[in-house]
Amino acid sequence: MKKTSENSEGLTQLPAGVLEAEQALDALDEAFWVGFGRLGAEQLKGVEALQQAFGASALGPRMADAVAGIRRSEFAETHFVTFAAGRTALQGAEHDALLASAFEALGWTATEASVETNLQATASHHEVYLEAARQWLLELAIVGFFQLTPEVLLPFQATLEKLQGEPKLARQAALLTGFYEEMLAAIPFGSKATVQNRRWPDLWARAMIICTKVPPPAAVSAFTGQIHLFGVEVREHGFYASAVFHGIALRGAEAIAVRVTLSTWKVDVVFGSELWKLFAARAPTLVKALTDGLALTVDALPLAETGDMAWDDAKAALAGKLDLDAIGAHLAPGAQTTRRAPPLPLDRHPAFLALPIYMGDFQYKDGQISFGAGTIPLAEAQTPAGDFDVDLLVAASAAVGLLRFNGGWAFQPLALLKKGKSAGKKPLTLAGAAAASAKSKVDAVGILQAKASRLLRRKA
Amino acid sequence: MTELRQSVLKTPAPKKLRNVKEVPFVELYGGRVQGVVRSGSDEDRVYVCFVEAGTGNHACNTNNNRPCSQNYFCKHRLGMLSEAMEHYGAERVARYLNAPGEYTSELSSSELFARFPNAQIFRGSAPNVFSRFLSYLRYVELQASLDPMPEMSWFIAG
Repeated sequence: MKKTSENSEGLTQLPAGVLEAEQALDALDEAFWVGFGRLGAEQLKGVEALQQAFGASALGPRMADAVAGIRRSEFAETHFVTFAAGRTALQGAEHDALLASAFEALGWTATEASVETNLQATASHHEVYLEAARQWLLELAIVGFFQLTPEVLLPFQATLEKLQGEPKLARQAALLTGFYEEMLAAIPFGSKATVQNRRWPDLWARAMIICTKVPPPAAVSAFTGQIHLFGVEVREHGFYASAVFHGIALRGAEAIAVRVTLSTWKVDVVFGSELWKLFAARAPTLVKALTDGLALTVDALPLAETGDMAWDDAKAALAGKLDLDAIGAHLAPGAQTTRRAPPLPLDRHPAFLALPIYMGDFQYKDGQISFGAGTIPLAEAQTPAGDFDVDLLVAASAAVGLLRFNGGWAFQPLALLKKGKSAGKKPLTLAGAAAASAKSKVDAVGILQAKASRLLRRKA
Repeated sequence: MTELRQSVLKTPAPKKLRNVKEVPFVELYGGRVQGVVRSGSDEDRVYVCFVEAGTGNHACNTNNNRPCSQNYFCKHRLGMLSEAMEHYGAERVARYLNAPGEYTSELSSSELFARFPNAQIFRGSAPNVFSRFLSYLRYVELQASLDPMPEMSWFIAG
């Protein structure tokens, strides 16, 4: 696949090679749903087509081995790691092509430098848990998602609990927990079967990859300066939640698009304002900046080369009012000087694309968003329910948010602004701010923690 | 533009905050709606209930496996089912149970129970509901990480 796109239709046209990659993924999806242990001639052809796509590349010989192995019903872990790697490589290439065409269409400059990582050894007991996870993933792939039963899923519970107990394996544990619970809740499929989707093979491949090689963290440096938040997205399943704060960091004339991630384990009854209580306890200054629309000054916070900041509330203080129109200008199409950090090489997946953008000429109608560079849909799947209602979208005349990709480019609003006398001074609404400032009437976390200390201790 | 398959699909979010004090745990799991209900009289005792999909067979026992003294449709069973319907929405629970008839959001727990006129009381220990509850409680004590979590991009409540 070519790395850049030659067309300039940008956001409404797929870059060269993406469609071919998607077709190869469709064939591979099929194998995961049917199960590698029971592939018919048709599905084997699909898997072989994947092998051809990798013919001359570095993965080519491994892919040929894996396909030959499957033909012989030889279900070795290494073959499945190869399929996961193949999937990841295809989607990595898609990611790069999509990013390049979006940058070209929006007049942004890509940061060429690749991200440095700090290699770290994996603890030996971690290796044991990760191997058990790979074994289970292998089992799923052989059986096929359509044939899932509690007998296939439940034995993983013990490994899952081990993974959850290791904060250094939080990425693996959070992903596997969400995937595991999602599958458990979906079976038995019954007559109203969920349709075969791309999602489960993607989650499977991602889990296989990060359980094979623990992704090393990006190199960090200390950042001192101002941060202007323009919204937060809450990503959650029943048992884990991350609040990803998006902002612009200013240091002298330098502007950097940054993210701060706060995460917590939780249970399904903890959501909305209950969840925000946990985040506010962890980072009161950060959450107050969001709810009160204030800027922040930070002193020597670790900033990774990916634009991710490791938050420490003690190093932060509230500053003056946010001016989102002024801040937004750093994210507008054509704003060349803002540093938009590249992701880690392993984290190149179309679903991870989240490009901050300011639309000074935002217009919403019937699920579609028009701005200077074209018309794209609202990112329905990525915008948490309840973030914005339609009235606010219709009333807004400018917006800051994220360009997302989910089978096509779409826009996820984070801050809606209204032009007028008080232009830019006060946002109409900021994603997350309402839930973060709502007072929760119950204390679900407290009740369950009390129960936990009573029942879990007694059991032990 | 050609329609491509979507990798991000919303994760069903709770409809409402259920009464955590009365029913600290409820789930749709392994073909059963199951949960844990507080005992009115003893802080250390809970009732473990479930209703099976397809048959409507049901059970209610204490966490020490003593059968609930009320034989049928006790307040624990009904309470557990009501809170499940609050949490997941009545329609989703009825669909999960594969109950006969129409599914509407106004359905009540006793109406839903009545859809299974031939349901039997399940004798013997309730399979692993209590241990599922203990695993559930573990989550509120786990340590999270400060690192970026790109994989969470797949999980959006809707």
